[in-house]
Amino acid sequence: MLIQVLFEGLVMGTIYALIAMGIALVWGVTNILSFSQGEFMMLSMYLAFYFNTLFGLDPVASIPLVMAIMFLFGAIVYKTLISRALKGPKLSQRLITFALGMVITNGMLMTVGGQYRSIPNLMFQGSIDLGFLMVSRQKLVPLAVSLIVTGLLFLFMDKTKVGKSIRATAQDKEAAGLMGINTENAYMLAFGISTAIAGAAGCSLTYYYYIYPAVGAPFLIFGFIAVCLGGFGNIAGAFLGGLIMGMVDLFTGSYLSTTYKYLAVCVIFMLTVSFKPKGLFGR
Amino acid sequence: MKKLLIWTLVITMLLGTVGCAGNSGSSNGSTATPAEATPAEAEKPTDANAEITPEPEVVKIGLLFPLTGTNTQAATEVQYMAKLYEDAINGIVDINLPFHDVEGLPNLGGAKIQIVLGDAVTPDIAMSEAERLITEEGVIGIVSTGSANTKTIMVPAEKYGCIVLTEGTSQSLTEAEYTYWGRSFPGDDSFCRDTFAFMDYMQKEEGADIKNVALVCEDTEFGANMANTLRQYAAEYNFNVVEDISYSATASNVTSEVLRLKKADPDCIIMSSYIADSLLFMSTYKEQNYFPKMLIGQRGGFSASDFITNLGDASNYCLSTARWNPDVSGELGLELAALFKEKYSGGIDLVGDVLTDSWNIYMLAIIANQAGSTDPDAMRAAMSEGIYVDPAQDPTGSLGYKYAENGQNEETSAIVIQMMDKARHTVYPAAVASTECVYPAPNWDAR
Amino acid sequence: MKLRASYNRHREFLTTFMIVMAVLIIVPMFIMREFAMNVLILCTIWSIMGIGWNIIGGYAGQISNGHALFYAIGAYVGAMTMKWFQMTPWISMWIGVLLSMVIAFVIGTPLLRLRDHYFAISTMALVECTRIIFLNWKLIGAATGVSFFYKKLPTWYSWQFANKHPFYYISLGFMALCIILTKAIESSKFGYYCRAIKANQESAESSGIDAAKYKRRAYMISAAVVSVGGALHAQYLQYIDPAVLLPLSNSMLIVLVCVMGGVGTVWGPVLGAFLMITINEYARSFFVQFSGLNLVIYGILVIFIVLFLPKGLISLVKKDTLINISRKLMKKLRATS
Repeated sequence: MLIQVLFEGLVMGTIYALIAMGIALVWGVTNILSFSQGEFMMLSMYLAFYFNTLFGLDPVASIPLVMAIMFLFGAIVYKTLISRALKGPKLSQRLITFALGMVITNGMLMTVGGQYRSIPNLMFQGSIDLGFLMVSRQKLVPLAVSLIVTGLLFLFMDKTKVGKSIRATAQDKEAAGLMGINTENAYMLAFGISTAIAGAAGCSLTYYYYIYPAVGAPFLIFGFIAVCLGGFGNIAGAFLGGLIMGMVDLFTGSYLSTTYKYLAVCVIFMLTVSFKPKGLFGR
Repeated sequence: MKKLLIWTLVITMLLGTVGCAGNSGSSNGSTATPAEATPAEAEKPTDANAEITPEPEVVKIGLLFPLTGTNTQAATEVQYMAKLYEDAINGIVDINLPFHDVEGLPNLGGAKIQIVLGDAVTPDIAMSEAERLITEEGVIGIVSTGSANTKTIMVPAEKYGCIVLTEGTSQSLTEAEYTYWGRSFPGDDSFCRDTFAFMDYMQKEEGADIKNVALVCEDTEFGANMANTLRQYAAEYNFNVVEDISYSATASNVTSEVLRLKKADPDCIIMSSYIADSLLFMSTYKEQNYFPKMLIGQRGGFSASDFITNLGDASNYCLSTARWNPDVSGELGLELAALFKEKYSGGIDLVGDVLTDSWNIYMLAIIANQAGSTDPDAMRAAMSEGIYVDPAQDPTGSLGYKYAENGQNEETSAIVIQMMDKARHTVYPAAVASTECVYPAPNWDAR
Repeated sequence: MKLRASYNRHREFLTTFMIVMAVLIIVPMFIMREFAMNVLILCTIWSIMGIGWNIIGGYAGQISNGHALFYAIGAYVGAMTMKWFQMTPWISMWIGVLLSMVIAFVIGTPLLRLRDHYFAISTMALVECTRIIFLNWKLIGAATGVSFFYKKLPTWYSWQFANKHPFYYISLGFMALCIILTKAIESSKFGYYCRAIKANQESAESSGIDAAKYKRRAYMISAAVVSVGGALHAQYLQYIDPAVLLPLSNSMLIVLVCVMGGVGTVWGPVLGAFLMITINEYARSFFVQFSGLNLVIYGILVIFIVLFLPKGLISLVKKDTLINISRKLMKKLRATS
């Protein structure tokens, strides 16, 4: 069972990591705690569902399309709401994402209704029985998507000019502006990219999770905790934070007690922050 | 200028909502204002009341269900059913339900019924809404669901005197000594006892080899109470509990739970879950290529229409306790299910819990009719005496309706259904079973 | 002499206070609709919670998303003492306050060292922990919650009245106390230090202000006030369980109510609570046919206020509005006499 738990922990960890990275990106660049990340994920799940129903597209195939749509959506949200909120007090910024999340969740409830949906004809189904390990193909998809997206994100932030300008803006907005970087655009891009990441997360999540307007909420707080574990605005930290959380979740649940597994996650988090107030890798 | 505009907008909105909400409320003659309620109630004779207040033209029945949050689908379906009943009583649609041959309720001067909605997503909101329904809308009774919601709804209901019928199964409700509460179908106690009686029956009559049991219950009111009662009856019926899992209904994954179950390898798993987590469990079972020989759900998610809709054939072999199934009450039940699916629900099947939750609406109308008045005490007295419903017109197949002092209908009992080929079939008790239970359930790769 | 001097200093506040209290006392005497009274009671309770949060979030600038914890402590203490000992809330409320202050002290010490988002997220994690613990703690009812509906106790003792008005006046009384407390803090040296810490913690510390001590103190006072609100709410609902009290949305609601009204002001939370709760309750009853429309409206309202009224609703009320109104009234009265 140990190997199974390890594998499952890894899978859950990468899923948490994906969500956490989106939050970390927004936090690192704009210093906003995005409460609507879960809802963006939910929207992309519905998009994947409709692409599947209308065009027969498998969620994996629709990932690029969904990411593009979510990127645009994120950019629009940024331009209309967030950029204006940034001019006001910090508290309002957080509340605006919370309110946005509320509007999106209930708006979806009103329009599409409360039926639980799932995607019936997934491309990768079934499990591979390796004897000591049962690998579910449906869990491999989120794992693979998460790793690929993470890799692409790191490449983007590290190698491309746009990525570097976003990182520069995150480090010091004024200095970046003085260097000729369009900081407004950098902010918008960062927000759009993090929404796109939520889009990828949502698509891959439809492989094993049901689709419902309130689906974002359980993942949100763990996304926050993962980000905090990793450290302020550090994407790599968020990724590791997510992995740690996945492992703690699975190990406590399987060996100790399922009742208190989330308690363990929270306690470990609080202990970590008490000793390292800026997270494991924060600056 | 902008500020003035904003202020005017805000004040107009406030006045508008207050004014509109005010106009929609009409007080029923028998709902006394609370200042008079406590001293005067004891002296008010019911006959004088019936004489003084004119027969109402419309009798309002309140429906408090979660309209927001994570469990709204059941509420939507109950609303469809409520519309069906409204049409049946008011003479718009013809099906062999009580009062279908006359327009309105005969003993109340042909009063028609009207359903009033309220949101009950959390207990504190449910209380607020109950308050509104009783005092502003003047409902003669409230139908709701969920034990936690029932507890807060009873606060205004007991204060103002309003009959509340809910299917919250918790023992704490029957122990609370409410005057105006009733439950038409079985409670936790019954369901748990019947679960183990069924397993016992399978062992003795069908030769099933069930010794080890695992309990999987979600951790809020519903699951936690079930877990306690299940443990009690497991001991009584001599089953061995090998794994006792309590999990969070809003979990992001249940992999560790399923891994533990796989390791413990029980003969039978009993689950108390809502729709979201039950779907998650089923897909995780499939992923891990694990399925017990017998899986008994305790209503909740297993009784929801979304269960079979989403799982399709993966839902085969799952059992569940239930309050009702279309095949248990003869022609009327099937006819009702067909009418529901064709004309009211847009193609969604009628599931047991939707019928039983909504049937309380009809019960309120029947009770008021039998009592000949909408006074809550008269209605409660009628409930204690026993409500007569012609069996040919009762789709629930219930043996009777006699509400004990603690609110429980004593003449009701549970059934066990099995899901097969995307439909639910009654398998226990033998007297009402339509097919035999298929046991043992094969693992996923053997299907 | 001293009294006259302090009256002059706080004249504006006192006048506003008198007028607002007068309205809130007299108008409900004519309101007979139970639902309206219900809404008013909820408004006062949420005002208290908003005021509580304001102390740590508005004045000291530490944004906590975990005040549901103290709300729950106040509620549970009140509920359990009523259930076990039939203790009157008049007394048990203060036990809850004491307990909250102790817990605030204990967790405040490590947690308040964190800054900004870390603090916010840690408080959220803390509430999650508490929710899970309470959900499984058999002693206090675990998931079944606590139900304490007693018809037999005398009403002023148990706070369980047949009518809504007495409860309303009790909770209005507590709200008035909390408002006065906030004003006292605002005008005191303690409040001054808190505002300095909020503006820039490093400079405040370099001026010799012990930031950790004052933050902790603010956290304790904040916890006490919110716990009062919790106790009141529990007595009103007469049934509590962890799922009702401790979801994340409750903590956010406490923050929302205060921020919408105006953070760091005396009247902001009150205004915010009254407006948001009223709109929420009436929107829900109005739009119940469309699942979720009321929450959409609520969310849009919040976004609207955040974007166009960043300082909160209180910015709509000009500084001397009420005192000007009262001056005009006095002039008119003098003219007629």
